[in-house]
Amino acid sequence: MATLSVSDLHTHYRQRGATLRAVDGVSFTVEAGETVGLVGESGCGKSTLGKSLLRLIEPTSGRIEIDGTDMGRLLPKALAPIRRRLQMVFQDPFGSLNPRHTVGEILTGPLQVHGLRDRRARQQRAIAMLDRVGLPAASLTRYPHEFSGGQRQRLGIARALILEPDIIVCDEPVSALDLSIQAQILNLLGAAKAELGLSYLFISHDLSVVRYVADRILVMYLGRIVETGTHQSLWAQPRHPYTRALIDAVPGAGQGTGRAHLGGELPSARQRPAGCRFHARCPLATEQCEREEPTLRSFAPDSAVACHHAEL
Amino acid sequence: MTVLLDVRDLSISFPNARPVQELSFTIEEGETLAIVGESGSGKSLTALALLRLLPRTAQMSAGRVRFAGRDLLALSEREFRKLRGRDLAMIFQEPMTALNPVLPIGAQVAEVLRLHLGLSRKAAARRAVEVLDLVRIPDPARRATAYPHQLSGGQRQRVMIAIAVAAHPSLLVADEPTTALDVTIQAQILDLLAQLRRDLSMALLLITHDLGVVAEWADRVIALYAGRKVEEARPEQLLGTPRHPYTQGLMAASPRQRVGYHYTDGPLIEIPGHIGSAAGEAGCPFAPRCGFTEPSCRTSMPPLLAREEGRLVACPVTAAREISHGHAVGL
Ligand SMILES: Nc1ncnc2c1ncn2[C@@H]1O[C@H](COP(=O)(O)OP(=O)(O)OP(=O)(O)O)[C@@H](O)[C@H]1O
Ligand SMILES: Nc1ncnc2c1ncn2[C@@H]1O[C@H](COP(=O)(O)OP(=O)(O)OP(=O)(O)O)[C@@H](O)[C@H]1O
Ligand code: SF4
Ligand SMILES: [Mg+2]
Ligand SMILES: [Mg+2]
Repeated sequence: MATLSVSDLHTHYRQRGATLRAVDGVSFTVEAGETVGLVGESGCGKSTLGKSLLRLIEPTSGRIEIDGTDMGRLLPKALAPIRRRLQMVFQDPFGSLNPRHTVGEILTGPLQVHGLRDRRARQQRAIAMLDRVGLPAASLTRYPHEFSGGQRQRLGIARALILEPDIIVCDEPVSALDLSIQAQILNLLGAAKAELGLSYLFISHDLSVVRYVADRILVMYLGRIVETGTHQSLWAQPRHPYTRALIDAVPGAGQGTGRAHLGGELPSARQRPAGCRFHARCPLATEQCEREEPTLRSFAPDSAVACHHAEL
Repeated sequence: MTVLLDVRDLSISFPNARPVQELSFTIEEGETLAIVGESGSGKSLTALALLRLLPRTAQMSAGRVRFAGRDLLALSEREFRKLRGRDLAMIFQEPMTALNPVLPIGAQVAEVLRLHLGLSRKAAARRAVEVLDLVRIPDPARRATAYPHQLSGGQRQRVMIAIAVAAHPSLLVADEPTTALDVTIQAQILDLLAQLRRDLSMALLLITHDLGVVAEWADRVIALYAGRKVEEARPEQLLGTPRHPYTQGLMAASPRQRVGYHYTDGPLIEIPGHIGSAAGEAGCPFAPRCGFTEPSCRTSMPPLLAREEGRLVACPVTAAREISHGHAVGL
């Protein structure tokens, strides 16, 4: 069990002299045993944020603490035991599974690295894990390319769970899966959480999935968190116009028509708009919004919104 | 309507498995046929087989594969290459494996335009930026110089869509084209595909597990289970009153069925067991997980029977009685 605390995290990319502020000042916590959902448009910085937490991408600045230990200050060697506690399920399962390793090697490798000496025991753990994600034991001797897209995604989940970490960053863990497997995996993640006291940072663009799994939700827009709320409050009463537009676009939710309401210019983290980063697409935007960037204002426990005109 | 693609008895096997078995389907000009089905049921392999892109270890056999009046099985490798990417294009399930990692994305789109539409280098580069804009890549002129790894997951998926539609194919095989996309961009992409369908009367073979997408975009849908077609229907039929015990279980598993349901309220409904449990057994592939089996289910594969107009179901039990969905898996 552990608490993850992130403050003022920035991760910028440089490409051809230009700077792209993919994560642009993000702060939040994930408490032990909690599932925090992270939602937002394609390209808003969700995966970058997730990878920065594991330092798979070096953040530009900011603090990442696990139970008070500052991850940023640790040298690579001291990072190893913390890495075990913090795992990630990647959005692109194929790119994250070594094509030259068998599934057996992929699953037992981390166990060996982290000190499980007994070969038979490692094998056993791997088989039990495969069973939990719905794959046969015979998968052990096969290579990643011999699996379907959804099966590979489940291999990624098995690899993240096998070390029994404290926190898992799940980047679109079920978006490649059909509904019945999706249900199995979500139930599996739920059971693991109950058994091991795991916490998740759960990234997904599928709001119906986030709505089911998350205790608390972060809504991200162009590198920043624009709203946070609890399961009880956010869905019922979204405050930020962007959150509302997102929820409205879900077929069958509320008055949602299932179609895009978000018109306007496409945002680009490279040419971040002045003022509120949402103003060009916002139905409530005023002149103030073009000038001043709104800050996150907290209006209830665990609830905050960054909008000049949100009713609190 | 004219039949554009006609596939009969397609089977695909590996030395130790037969993931697709005797699959038949047709697509008409301009039609959208959706394929849904359990993970591992053979959807991607079917798509790859149509484009002759199966892995080398795979064996394929088919009674017939006709496309736009031509016998695809009889084409030489050279003839097939001309067809692929031009008349017959594909969007792959995993963009990273399909994009060239060392070529900027604009150049990858331009290459298709030069190769298949004969545009000059300069015209192709200009048109490539327009195509990237069409699939909603922000800041397309600049982004054209980016490499695939510099894009987000959803942006990569959109680049692949841009490459696939650049040459205006008459059939686009799209394997989970919108899985990495949020609803707003998903709607824009599907609108774009719909527009291409109208303007160019492009037909679409749409593999997806997103039933919302099926409901809104498909003309017909087939459900696969363990490499076999178990149901075929119009989307409103399949989604509204699924008839096969597998499709019934699939509908019941959707978190969208119960808006507001939270994990603290309890687990989601699953179909118990795994697809693997059917491997190598005779009879209905769903039998080991089915709540309705009769003795005959275990001995031979149930044939596809016409239920009502426009619907085929491969289950003698549900064909015989009416069952409300959700009950099929004994829940
Ligand atoms: N290695 C990189 N170099 C330069 N830019 C990058 C790199 N990786 C990502 N980006 C850019 O940073 C932004 C955020 O990307 P990120 O992958 O974090 O988005 P995301 O929210 O996960 O989107 P999606 O939902 O599509 O996966 C995007 O505009 C993307 O193009
Ligand atoms: N190269 C291969 N060698 C051996 N088996 C394979 C190979 N490729 C796929 N398979 C197997 O064939 C079956 C069908 O795979 P396919 O990729 O068509 O599934 P799918 O329906 O697309 O699933 P998903 O929804 O998960 O993408 C799977 O069980 C898979 O493990
Ligand atoms: S601050 Fe202004 S532009 Fe930004 S979301 Fe609120 S109303 Fe819209
Ligand atoms: Mg991402
Ligand atoms: Mg597939």
